[in-house]
Amino acid sequence: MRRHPPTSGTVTSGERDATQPQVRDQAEPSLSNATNRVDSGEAGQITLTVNGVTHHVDVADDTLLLDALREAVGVTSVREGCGVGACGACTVLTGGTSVSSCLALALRYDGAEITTAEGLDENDDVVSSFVECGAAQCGYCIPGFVLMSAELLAENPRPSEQDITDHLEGNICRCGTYPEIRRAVAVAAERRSPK
Amino acid sequence: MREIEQSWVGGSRPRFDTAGRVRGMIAHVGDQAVGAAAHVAVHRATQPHARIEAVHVDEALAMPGVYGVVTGADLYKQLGDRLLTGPAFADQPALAHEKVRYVGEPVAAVLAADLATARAATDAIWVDYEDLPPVYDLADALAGTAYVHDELRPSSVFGDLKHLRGVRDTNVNYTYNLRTGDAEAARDAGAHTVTGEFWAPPTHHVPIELPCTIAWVDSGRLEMLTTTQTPSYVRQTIADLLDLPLSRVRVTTRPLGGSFGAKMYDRLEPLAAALAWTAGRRVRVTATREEAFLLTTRHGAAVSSSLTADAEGNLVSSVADVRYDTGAYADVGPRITAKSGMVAPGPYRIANARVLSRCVYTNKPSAGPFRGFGVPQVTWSHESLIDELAHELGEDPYAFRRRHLLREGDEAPMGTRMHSADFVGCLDAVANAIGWFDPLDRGTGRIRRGRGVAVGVKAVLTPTIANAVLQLNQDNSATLLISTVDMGQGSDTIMAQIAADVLRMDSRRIHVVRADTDATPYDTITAGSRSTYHTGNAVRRVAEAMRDKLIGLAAERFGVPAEEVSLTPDGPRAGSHEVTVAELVHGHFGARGATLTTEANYTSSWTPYDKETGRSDKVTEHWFAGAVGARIAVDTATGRVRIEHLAVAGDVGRAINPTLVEQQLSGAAIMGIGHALFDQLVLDQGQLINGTLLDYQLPSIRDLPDQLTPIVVESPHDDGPFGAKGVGETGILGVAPAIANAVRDAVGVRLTRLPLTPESITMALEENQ
Ligand code: FES
Ligand code: FES
Repeated sequence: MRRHPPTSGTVTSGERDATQPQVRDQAEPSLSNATNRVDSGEAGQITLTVNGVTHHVDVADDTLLLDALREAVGVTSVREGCGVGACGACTVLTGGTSVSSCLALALRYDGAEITTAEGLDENDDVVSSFVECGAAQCGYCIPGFVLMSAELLAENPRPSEQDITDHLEGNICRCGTYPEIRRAVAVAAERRSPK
Repeated sequence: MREIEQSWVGGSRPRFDTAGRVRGMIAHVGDQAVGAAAHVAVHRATQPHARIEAVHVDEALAMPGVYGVVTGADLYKQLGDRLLTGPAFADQPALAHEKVRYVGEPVAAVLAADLATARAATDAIWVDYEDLPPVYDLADALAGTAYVHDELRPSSVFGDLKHLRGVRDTNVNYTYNLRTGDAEAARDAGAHTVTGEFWAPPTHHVPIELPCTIAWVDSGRLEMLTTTQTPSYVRQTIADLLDLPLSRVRVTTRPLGGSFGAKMYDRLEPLAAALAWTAGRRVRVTATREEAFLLTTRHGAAVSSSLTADAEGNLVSSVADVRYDTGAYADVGPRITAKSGMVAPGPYRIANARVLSRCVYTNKPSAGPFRGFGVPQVTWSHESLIDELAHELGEDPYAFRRRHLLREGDEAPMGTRMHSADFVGCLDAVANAIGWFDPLDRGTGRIRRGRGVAVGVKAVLTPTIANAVLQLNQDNSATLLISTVDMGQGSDTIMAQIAADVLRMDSRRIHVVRADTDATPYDTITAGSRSTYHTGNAVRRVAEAMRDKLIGLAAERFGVPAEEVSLTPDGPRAGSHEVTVAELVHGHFGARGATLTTEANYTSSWTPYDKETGRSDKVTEHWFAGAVGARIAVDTATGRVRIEHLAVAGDVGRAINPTLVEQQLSGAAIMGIGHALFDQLVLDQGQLINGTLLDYQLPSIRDLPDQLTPIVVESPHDDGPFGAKGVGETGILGVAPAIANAVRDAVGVRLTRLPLTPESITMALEENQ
């Protein structure tokens, strides 16, 4: 499954067919935003509730949710790996739904409740399973996998191996920690809803 | 095993910081707040090869928020030829000077109040070019009508390149020759010869963390925080660039979010240092993913080769012509050319060998080190050839290899003996794992199954230098100062295990300091799988020195000879005498919190290879030996390959931490699957056309084999720390040929060009009909 590119003002959008080729179809391409700042003005202040703490953040029309979180809120587990929605390092949960924050305009998340990996308790089933299974090498990609896994288990408490693969295939781990990640998700599922 | 022993050598203790990594609470370079820094963006060349006539910056300079625009000519005015840097050749300017040599080369840098403004301003820069004839590929380069560089400029880093200074009219910046016996004559006289034209395309490392460098000037010193695997090298480069003593340059690091060779030598650092120094202000230089694709690549390599057996099936001749496409700047290409050229015949007993290995400039993004250091490209050739030769002789490819593999004490074609390189053990392990000796359901209809194996050999980077400083704190915790960079391999964890094993303490009480050239001692580089052996030995020695110091203090306290004192997890003991380390150190200094300090060095040595023959009796400190076995299914209708089982074995001497070793093996194998099946940079007329993650395919969880088996083989090295050697690259060497050999076994076609795309397989099947 792919994380949701924001296509409307709401933070939940439809799922997409994972077999579709990845295309640059989002309304506001992030990269050209970064290089086309000239016409953008200050758009004002939004409110983001991040891991339970409310922040008032000044943003421009083209400020990405990724940048608002990293630079204004000070969250560092949300990371830019590609800027085009193809790696999952920038994943956050809004209202429990995964979003690629590198494709999301901050303005559209005014009032949103956002969870990042820092916001999960260290005893959380997913976090503790990842730790126990050694599911992190450099670890740079792992917060994104943790949030995708949390989303999966909320929707599907007993995922099959195929379900896990389907849900995590949009995230890239260049260290190749996939076997450990897959095991960690299975362990977390078992822990949360023992058979 | 007691818990404390689990933290020593051989124990699979977890990385010390896994919990922080899982929740993203480890700070990386890009996470550091920079305050009022100038953010830097770069205007890039649009031409592959052109003279710069003029750079128009006025419009960019006039934009609000722009502090300044700097061109290569500006930097050259201040720095002269020192602007040109590089590990082998001083050929690369931080900003193009006079000429551009690849599409995407930095031409001018904008310093601005924020990154968006800086990036916008780069679009307002215009450059007038006078086009020069482009050198698009190896064929253009070797035709010798246009030259990427007017003359060769060896750097001062490698003394053995001196003779190349000033050589003109060539795109070949380095040639390695191996001549053992008379390989051509032996080939012509041999009974069976197989030949091939092999191609391994350029690829990219794509560590998920993007590169970032922050540089500033403090009291006349240039300081920087940067994503690098090579802090000691970068300090030297910056000192040379700015003509400063080493003591006035400080390079600091944070853990890297992956690297695989991408973040080493000269990346963003020379530009950041030059800008910070000349502008006198803090600068932050970063790269988008698209820009990171242009910073360095893996060498595309062409290999024309043959392998010959006599009538009895003995290997009598190996001949290889290897061309590495190093792009516009040599980087460490010349070293790659030699180090992989010398193993181009493979890990086999072959009486006669001839290798010509060349490093070739083209007008493309520069190629540099990538996990495997050029060896996967020649492994692709030798493991395809020996497989084909076995088929031609009607022999089992596993048994044929096994018969000819180098054994302990055997001399390889380049003249160096094998030690702690258990090729046979690795090959047996993967063959067993994938069920080589069991009957195979070969499939029916469109699905056909096959099995393949491949063996790889690589030399460790030699000679290199490692240093370590250890501070034992009075409370029996310790601080270890080394310049090894943890980029996911777990060096901070295993170095602590080595020191703790010697000192009989809990390795979790040892903190490994992040490389900081003001504090941590010189270490050649964190690369080439050299750290476990080299830095590991320095760490072993520094801990032994500390053990001796503690024993000396205890002997004094107990009033017994030092030989009677032993160190236990509970402290020094001698007969009925006992004391804890905390009491001992407290007693010695009369203070809480005091520290004892020791330091140690480990330097490896080599015999440089002969220029004519490429031979040396000690070309390397030690060898890496690995093998891969693959069982696959090919869908003959679509050409898709499904990997049912991939087994990857590496001889690591001794596993300091078996779990981390297995992760290195399986992680390398997964990266290798990409190289085998789809990973490649596509360039058209010098223009990179798939340099974004929308277009560049990387292995995802869906590409995992149905079964992936990492296998640790241990044949201890006499001089390794506890017998250990490194493992970062071993797993990747044989993946592509093992899979291609399995395709050959399944459907009878021999593919010689990577990657093995579905189209290339269906096309080969059609041709075969
Ligand atoms: S940075 Fe957002 S998906 Fe890669
Ligand atoms: S752990 Fe390094 S990228 Fe996933």
